[in-house]
Amino acid sequence: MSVVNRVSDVVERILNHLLAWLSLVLLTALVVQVVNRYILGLAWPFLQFLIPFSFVWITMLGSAVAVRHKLHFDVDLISPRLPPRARAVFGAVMASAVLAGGLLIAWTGVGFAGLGFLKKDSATDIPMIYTYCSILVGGILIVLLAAERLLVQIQLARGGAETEAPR
Amino acid sequence: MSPELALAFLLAGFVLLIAVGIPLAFALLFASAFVIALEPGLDAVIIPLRIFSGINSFVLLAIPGFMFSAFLMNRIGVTEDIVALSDLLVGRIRGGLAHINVVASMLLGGVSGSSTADVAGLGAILIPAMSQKGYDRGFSAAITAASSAIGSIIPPSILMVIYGASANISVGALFIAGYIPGILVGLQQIVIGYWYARRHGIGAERQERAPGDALRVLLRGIVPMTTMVVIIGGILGGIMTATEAAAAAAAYVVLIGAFFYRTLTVQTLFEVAAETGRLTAVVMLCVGTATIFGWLMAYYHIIEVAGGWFEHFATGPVTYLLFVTAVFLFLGTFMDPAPAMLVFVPVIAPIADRLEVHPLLLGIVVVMTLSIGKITPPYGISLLLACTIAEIPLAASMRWTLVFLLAFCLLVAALILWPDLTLVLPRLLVPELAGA
Repeated sequence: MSVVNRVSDVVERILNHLLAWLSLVLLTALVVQVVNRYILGLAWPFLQFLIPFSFVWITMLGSAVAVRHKLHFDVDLISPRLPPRARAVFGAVMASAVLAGGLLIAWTGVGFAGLGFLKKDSATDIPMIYTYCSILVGGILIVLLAAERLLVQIQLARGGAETEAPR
Repeated sequence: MSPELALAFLLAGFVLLIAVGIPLAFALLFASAFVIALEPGLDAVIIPLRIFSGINSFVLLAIPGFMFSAFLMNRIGVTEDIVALSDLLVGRIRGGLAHINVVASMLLGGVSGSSTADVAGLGAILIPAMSQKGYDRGFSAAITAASSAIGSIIPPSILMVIYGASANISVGALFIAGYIPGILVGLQQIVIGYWYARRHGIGAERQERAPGDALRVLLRGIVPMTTMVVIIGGILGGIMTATEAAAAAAAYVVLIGAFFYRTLTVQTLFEVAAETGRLTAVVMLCVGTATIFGWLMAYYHIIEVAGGWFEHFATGPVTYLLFVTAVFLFLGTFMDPAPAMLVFVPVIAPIADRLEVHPLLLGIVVVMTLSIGKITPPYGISLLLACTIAEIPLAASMRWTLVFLLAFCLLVAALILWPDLTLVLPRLLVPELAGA
């Protein structure tokens, strides 16, 4: 197993833990909001920040994990009809495209994260950088995990690996 | 750039990229980025700005709640109890296992909101059982996949949440509007199953049960069904939005998993939460990049241009809805329902307003036609999954899949011709949301 595979494994394990926690936090926050409103008669402004914060981070971190496992929706009409080596080349082209998409998200995400320093959440006064930087971080992680897919596909195309990247 | 040129770049780019196999979320991103790069008045920061505004939607927060409930129910053993309850309800009718398959899909559809999760859960139990009882494997796979489409029609439904967000209509009203069409699809499939059983000499399945056993099955089956009461009761009672109801349902499933089934572990909870995060992200990245795409269509007034073209073909409500059905059936054959809705619903919904088509009827027609796309090759994910479980090639199930598809299309046509079938329930239960 290459260094890139090992690094990707570690990154994915961390991301899966974060995804689990963020999902549980999100669902709990929504339930607490209902309980607060109807039973306790309370309004916690922090929840107004926490809910979109968790949701946006789930989307960006989960999108990166989904790249590694090729979970993103696609219309795969060509690759099943190709011989193994051509399929690996095709897979490398697709992984490069996803990598380019990650770069685009990360590059444009830098300017967007900058806007987060200027804006505060209206309910809590928390700077929006904490939420806005998720796009930049997500883009970087997509690049990292797409790069691993690309390397695996290149190895497959060269006949140097026996298995595909994990699905 | 003229609207026509922008439309050509956006649509041609998108179609070309998905045709070569680029994931849909990235195809939407690249097609949009290309147009932004060509337009001097637009800054690249529009890309993350629109992705963020698309994801930051309160309505779409319902998606992780319904996904979490569906995955957790499969893990804690609800599926087996729903199958046993369905057996109790319809097992004595000729072709019992086929009916159990349909009724279990209807019941699971009423609590889970994810048709793919239904195929995986029910198919693993029922397809081998049907094969043992002499059902053709192609028929077993076809009815399992076709009945899973009911999960997207009977509320709660993730597709309805996405439609509600795309067309800006009440998800609660859409949920209520889904009941009668969903039940009609189920009845239709039960009739087909009965006809198949008669033709092949297959009898009833139900074993005689002791009265205590029947009561136990009823109780264990009814407990998960109370999730539906939490969701629909919360929405109808005005206590919760669809999003909050989804989260409440998730909490409720955790409680029944921990205290009623006693099969829930901390590890299961975390695994399901991580899976929910991953699959929510797949949908939401599409939402984000489709929002850039949709924003550009609005920026160039493409929606008006495309709408004018659309109206050329569809001059009245019925022809319009039939045209929409044909378009979405076609889209559903190769695209996942979520991105198909996110890209095309903003184009068709304004035309429906002009033609005085009820938005709930349009929503149900779109959700139904896209949900049946999950059983049409080459992108019929439910059918592929059912065939994998049945260990048969896709072609072996095609004959029966076509029967279910044809029946489904006839039902959609009936709903278009008699809109009251869909609208009577929302007008009765949520008149303030359903309109006159």
